[in-house]
Amino acid sequence: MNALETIKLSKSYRGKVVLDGVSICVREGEIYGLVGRNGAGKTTLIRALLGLAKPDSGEVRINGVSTREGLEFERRKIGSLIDSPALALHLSALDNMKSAALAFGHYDVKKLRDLIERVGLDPNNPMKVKNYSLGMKQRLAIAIALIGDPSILILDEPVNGLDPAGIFEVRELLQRLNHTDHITILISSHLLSELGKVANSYGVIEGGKLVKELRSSDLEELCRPYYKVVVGDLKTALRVVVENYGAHEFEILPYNTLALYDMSKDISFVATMFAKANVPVLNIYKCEGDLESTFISLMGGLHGAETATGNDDTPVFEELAPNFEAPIGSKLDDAPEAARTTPASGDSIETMSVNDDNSAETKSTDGDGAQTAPTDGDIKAEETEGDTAENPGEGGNL
Amino acid sequence: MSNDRFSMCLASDLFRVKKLKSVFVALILMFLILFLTFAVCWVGSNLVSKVEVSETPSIEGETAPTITQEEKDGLLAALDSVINDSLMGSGAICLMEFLVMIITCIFVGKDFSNGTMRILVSRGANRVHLFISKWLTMAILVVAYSLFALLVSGILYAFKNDGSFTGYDFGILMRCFSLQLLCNLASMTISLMIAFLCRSSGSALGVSIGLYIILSVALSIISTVVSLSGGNQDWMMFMPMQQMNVAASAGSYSTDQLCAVIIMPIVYIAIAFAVGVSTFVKRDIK
Repeated sequence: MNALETIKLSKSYRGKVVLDGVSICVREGEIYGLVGRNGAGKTTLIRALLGLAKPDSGEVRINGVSTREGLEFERRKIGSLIDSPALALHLSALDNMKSAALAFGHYDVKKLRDLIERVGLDPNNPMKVKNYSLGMKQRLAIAIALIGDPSILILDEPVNGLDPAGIFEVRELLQRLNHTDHITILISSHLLSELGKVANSYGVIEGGKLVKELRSSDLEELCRPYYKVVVGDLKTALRVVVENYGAHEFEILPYNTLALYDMSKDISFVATMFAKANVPVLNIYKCEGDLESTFISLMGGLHGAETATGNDDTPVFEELAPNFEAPIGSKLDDAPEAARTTPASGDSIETMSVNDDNSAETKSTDGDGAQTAPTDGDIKAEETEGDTAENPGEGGNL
Repeated sequence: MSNDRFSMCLASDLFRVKKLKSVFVALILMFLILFLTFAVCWVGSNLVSKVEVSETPSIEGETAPTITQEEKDGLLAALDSVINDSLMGSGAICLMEFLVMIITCIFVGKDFSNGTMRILVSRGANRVHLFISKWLTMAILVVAYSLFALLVSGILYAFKNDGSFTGYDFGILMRCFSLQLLCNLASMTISLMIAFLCRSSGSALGVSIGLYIILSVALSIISTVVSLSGGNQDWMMFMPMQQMNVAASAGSYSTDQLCAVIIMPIVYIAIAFAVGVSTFVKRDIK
C-alpha cells in the first residue's frame, strides 16, 4: 500500500510554476529520499502533502485517502519537520512538547520526557528554547514530530545544523524508527551522502518536475564504479574498446574521455590494451560511482541541464560507431557527464606506467599522487583517492 | 472527533497564552494605572479639601495659598471626575483594549512565525477550529482582564466612598463593564483578523497601531468638523474608535446610542471573524 502519493500535482506562485505535474509514490515502510537543488520544489511538495499549500491541480493521497476530511484525519498520523524547527522560543523544551502534545491530543508527560531524552536532550533543562543551538532546536523539532507515535514522518532537512555526531544520531534514530516501529519516512536533504545511507527509495526533483524515481537497486546500478580513461586518439580508442568490451559496457564522455564499466578487467589490463593499439592514454583512473555525483547528474549537472547535454564527442562517435548510437545515447541520458567527469571522493590512487614492451607496472600511493603530464610511449594510470585528482580536462593534457 | 480536536487546540492555545510574559506585564500595567490614577487623585482631593477658603480671590505676593469656595468645588469635581473615569473605564479599561490588541498580535503572530500554526495544520487541525480557538483564547483573556479591572475598580470605588457601595453604583459599574467588554471583544476580533492577515507579530502590531492612530485622528477631525458645523454627532457612535471608550460615557447614553454601542460591536465581530476565517482557510501557510 502507498503511504503517500501525489498525482500530477501542480502549484504555482504568482505565475511561477513551482510544481509541474509531480507524481511521487512512497510505499508503506519505506524511507523515501527527496532530492533536488534549492528551489526545485521539494518543500512545496512537502507542504502540499501536509495541507499547508493548496495545489492548483492534482491530487494528494495519504494511505489511499484523498477526500478533504479523510486527509485531515490521516494527517493526524503524520509527524513533520518543515524548514526551520517550529518551536515557541519563549518556552522550555518540555513546555514546547506539552504545548504540541495538548494540540495533538497525546498529553502524557512521561512519554514526552522519554521523547526528549530519545533525541539527546535533557527534559529537566529549564533553559528557554531561544537559547538553544540550531542543532538542539532541530532535535527538539524531531521530538515534537514523534509525539503521538506517528505512522508517517515527513522531514525537510532534518540534519540541518547538526554536528557530525548529531547527524549520526539522527540517522540511527530514523533507521530505528523505520525498522522497529515500521514508520514510513519521507525525507528531503541536501546532504546526499547522508540521504544515501538511510533512504531506500528516491525521488529526484528538478525545476518543479519529478526527473526520476529510483529504488536502491536502480541507484546501485547508476553508482557502479568504472575506469575513466582520457585518450589522445578517440577514434582508435573506440575501436579497441568495442573489440574488448560489449556495447553496453562503456560510455563516451566529453574531452576524449571514456568510461569503462567492466570492472572484471583490472586497470593494468585496460592500460595495456590501449598501449598495444598505440593509443596515447593521457590519464586513467578508477572512479567509485557515488551518490552525490549521480544525483547531481540526474538533476542536470552542476550548472544545469545545458552543461549536462553539451557532449562534443557524440558526432565523433556517431561517425565511428553508428551501431552504438542507441545504447550510448540512452546511457548518457541516464548518467550525464557531470557524474563522470570529476573523480569521486573515496577512490584509491593507483599510478601505473606502461613500459616499451607494453607490459604494465602498477604503483599504489595513498592519495597524494600528483597527476603527471603524459609523454609519448608512456601511459599514466591513476586510481584517485579523495579529491587529489582534479578534473582531467583541466590538467593541461587535453 | 472534530469537537475533540477543537478542544485540544483550545487547550494548547490556553497553555501557550499562560506562558506569555506580555499577558502578565499587561495585567501589572493595568493595575498600576488604575491604582496610581486613583491614588494621585485621591490624595489631591484630600489636599484640596483641607485648603482654607478665602472670601476674596488670592492676591499676588501672599504667602499662604488660598482659593475661593467656587475654585475649590471646581477642583474637587474635576478630581472626582478623573477618579470616576479611571474606575469606570476611560483609564484602565481603555488601556486594556490597547493591551489586548498588542497581546493578540504577539500571540497569533508568534504562532505563525515560529511555525506552531504550520505544525498544527500539518497534523490535520481544521483551520476554522484554529481561528475560533484563538478567538476564544483571546476572549477569555479579555473577560479575565475585565473582571480584574472590575474587581480593582470596585474596591477603589468603595474605598473612595468610605466603604459604601450602593446598588446604584454597582448598576452603573456593570453597565459600563458590559458595554466595554463587548467593545473590547470587537476590537480584539479586529486585531485577530489583522494578525491572521499579516501572519507575523511585528507587521500585525504595526498595522494595528497604525490603524488605531489613523482612526483616532480621523475621529477627532470628524467630530471637530461636525461640532463646528453644529451637526448631529449621534451617528459617530457607529465608528469603531468611538466604541473603544464607551465605558467612560455610557452613563449618559440615550436609548438609541445604547442600541448603537451594543449592535455595532457585534457587527464588527461578525465582519472581522468572516474576513479572518475566509482568508486563513484560503491562504497557504508558510
